[in-house]
Amino acid sequence: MKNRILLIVFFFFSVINCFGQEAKSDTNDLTNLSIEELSKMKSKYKATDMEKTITLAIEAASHKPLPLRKSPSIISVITDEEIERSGATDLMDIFQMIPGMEFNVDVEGVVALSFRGLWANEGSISMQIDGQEINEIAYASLQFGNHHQISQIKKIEIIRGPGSSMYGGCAEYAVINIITKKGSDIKGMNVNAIAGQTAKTYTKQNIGVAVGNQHKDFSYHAAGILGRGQRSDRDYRDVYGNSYSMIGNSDLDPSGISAGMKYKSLSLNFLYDNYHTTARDETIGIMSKAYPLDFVNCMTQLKYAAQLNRKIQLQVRLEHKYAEPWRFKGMPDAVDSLYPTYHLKANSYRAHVSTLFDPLYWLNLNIGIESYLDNGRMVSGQQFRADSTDQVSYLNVAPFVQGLLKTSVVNMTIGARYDISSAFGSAFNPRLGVTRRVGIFNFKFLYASSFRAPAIESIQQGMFKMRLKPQRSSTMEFEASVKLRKDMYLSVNVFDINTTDAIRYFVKADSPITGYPDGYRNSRVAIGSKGLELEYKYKSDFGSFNFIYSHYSVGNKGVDRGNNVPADRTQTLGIAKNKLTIAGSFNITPKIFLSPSLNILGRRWGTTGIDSNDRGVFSEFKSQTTINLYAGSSLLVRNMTIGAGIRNITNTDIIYIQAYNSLHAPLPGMGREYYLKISYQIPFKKQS
Amino acid sequence: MRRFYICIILLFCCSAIAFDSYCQSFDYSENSVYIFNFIRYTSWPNNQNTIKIGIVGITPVEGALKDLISKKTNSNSTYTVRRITMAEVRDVDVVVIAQSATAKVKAIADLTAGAPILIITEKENMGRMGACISFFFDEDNDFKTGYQLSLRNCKLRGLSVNEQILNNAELIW
Repeated sequence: MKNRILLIVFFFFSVINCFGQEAKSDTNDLTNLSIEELSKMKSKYKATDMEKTITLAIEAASHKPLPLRKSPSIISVITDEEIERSGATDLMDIFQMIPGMEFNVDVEGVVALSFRGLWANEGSISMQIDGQEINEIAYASLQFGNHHQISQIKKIEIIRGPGSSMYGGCAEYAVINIITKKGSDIKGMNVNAIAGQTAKTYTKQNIGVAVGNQHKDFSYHAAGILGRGQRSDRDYRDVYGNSYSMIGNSDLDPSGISAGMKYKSLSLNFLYDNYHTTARDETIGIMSKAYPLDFVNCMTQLKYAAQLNRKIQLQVRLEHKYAEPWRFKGMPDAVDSLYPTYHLKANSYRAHVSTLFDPLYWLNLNIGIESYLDNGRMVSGQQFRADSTDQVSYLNVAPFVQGLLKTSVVNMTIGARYDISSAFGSAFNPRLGVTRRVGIFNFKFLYASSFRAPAIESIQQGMFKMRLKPQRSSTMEFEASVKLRKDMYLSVNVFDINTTDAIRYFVKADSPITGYPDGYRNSRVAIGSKGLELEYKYKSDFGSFNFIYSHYSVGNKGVDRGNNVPADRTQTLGIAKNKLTIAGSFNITPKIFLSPSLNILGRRWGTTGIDSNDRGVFSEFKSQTTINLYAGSSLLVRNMTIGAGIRNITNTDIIYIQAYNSLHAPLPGMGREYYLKISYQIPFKKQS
Repeated sequence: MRRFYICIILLFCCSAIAFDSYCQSFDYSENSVYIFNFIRYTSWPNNQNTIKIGIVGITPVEGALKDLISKKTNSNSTYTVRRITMAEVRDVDVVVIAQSATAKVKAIADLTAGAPILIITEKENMGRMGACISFFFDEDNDFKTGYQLSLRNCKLRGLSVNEQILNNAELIW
């Protein structure tokens, strides 16, 4: 309690300094300017880094870019500078600092996200790169661990809340929008490399190249990554007690190319992502050796966004995605033959037309329609389970509308999207957002309905061929934030999520023997969570300091067989109720900074064994603390940024626990890791 | 957990102190151009050729406005700017209330209730005190000068503002 009082006193003294801005004089002749012209003038105010962060225009939360505090969502924003200073080498390092986000194992060595106490893989979190959804087509899942090229990230916007009213059936709980660097950001050539090592083995060795520039209305960029990595240097032990060393058996090898060009209102973007992994752990037990498991994504987007006149903006997007997700190739040994080859070739064709329209000074309207066709084709003689065919297609059409209303009391966002699918029927998702700023305070009240659309394989693997309904959620959120000083920001939000018809995958441990199929079904129990998230940020000349805490509880909501912890009804399986992150970045000299961070996950429950009835045996895992340190410099050598860090200093046994009851034992993470980061920029000469 | 919630509430209470010490400062020559434009795009019930601008309190905007008006020789209307007392607020068409005179906003609004007088304040959120337009420092828009507009207060005074003003305003009650 004493410490808390000290904390309050600290805040008290920190806020009493008046932060008036110096009066500015102007010698230019402004007298002939209209209001319109005045409002378009560049501000002469020198904003602090914190002010720039909290006033960044957010694109993901509404179709019209709005400042963070006016955006009708709870939002986290991470800039390229913050990524660089944190010493992050992977998206996992970044998302670990996001309130409510946690990593859990799925199957076959794949690690993915849970959010606010709920397993959020397979269509519950939409992750997008420059507006293109990268969730794979078969299950709509995401895969993390030395996967994406973070040196090319300009900004990450994370909507910590539902996004189906804008993004459809992959955005039930959250949306991650990664905005990459374009020609105008790169302006030259950049070469970067990351190398990490533990006492036993390498962790990752990646090299990336990017080139890009802008000439008047034309800009272009291209980037590539090639690397190799591993999930862990520990041993994995399955629920039967069998184990193997993950060194050499848990490869995480990224390779990919992204390229794009833009001319005036027209842009073309291309992304090729070939994520090669190896896995010895399958859904429950382990295999005799590690087999390759690949995820291939190839996406193309043609976008036309034009301001037709002062009041109307038109946006047309055509997208194609080709994917080979969960490609399990090769001929498994006889002992593993129950785990068959899997090779799906999937295509998704998407068209999006919308208008942003300002009919009245207090109203902005966004009206549009989005349609996509998902097509999956099994190769190598395989068939889809339910339809006993090698090819399936599902069409989805979704009209949507959204109004941003500027009233004298509050700003309001009212919108809805109606998804009509040939696979699951329809889903109507309204949203309401109310924001209000009072001086340094800002308040948001948000309600949204959202859904998870069954993807190709969840439709085809419905238990007993049942037709799955979409998983539905309704979420209420309230956020209060305050700009304590020019360099200090505090936000607190509470949330309440209710999910019905949860799509669950159930594995019967003895299915290979009995023939009883594994499969998906809608849970009869309504599940959900409620909780609180707090972010305190301090950013000044000396560096920055972040204190992030999140808490959830099942409370009076239901739990089903999928996420039930028998010994603790307030908690869900595999996910910590409390999470604390403290991260700082301090300028040691004008050229060198030091960035320590601490991440604590509260106690968790996971499956560690199996009983005689083939039911999981649950064990409690004590809280997990990881401490990291990174020292970097962006100016020591001209055009070069260089840094070295230690991750998991205390050599804690990091584990990723399965967040649903499917008998996969916790997957180990990496031990103490020493790593180096280097980036060299060759600027292009300016055009005369 | 309850203690934790109490701590958070206390933090917000502490920050209320910061709210009082939140000082604003503007580019006054820019504000004077805004004021001039507000006047240009506001219609008074009786079309007047001479617009009298009164300044309550001490603000650099007075000098900036005088300077600006002296340059506007081609205009059809005539403008006068002078510092006024509380007793004179009913004798002008526009009252500009300096940040230092914010305490007088309510009294001025009451004194001029119903009269076609455009009340402009340098302090934000004065619409609830009866101001028609209040300047503020718009952090969400590149830290530019912004203005809040109370259509209700304008209407009560028989003033109508056109789209030029509405388009860029943050509307308040």
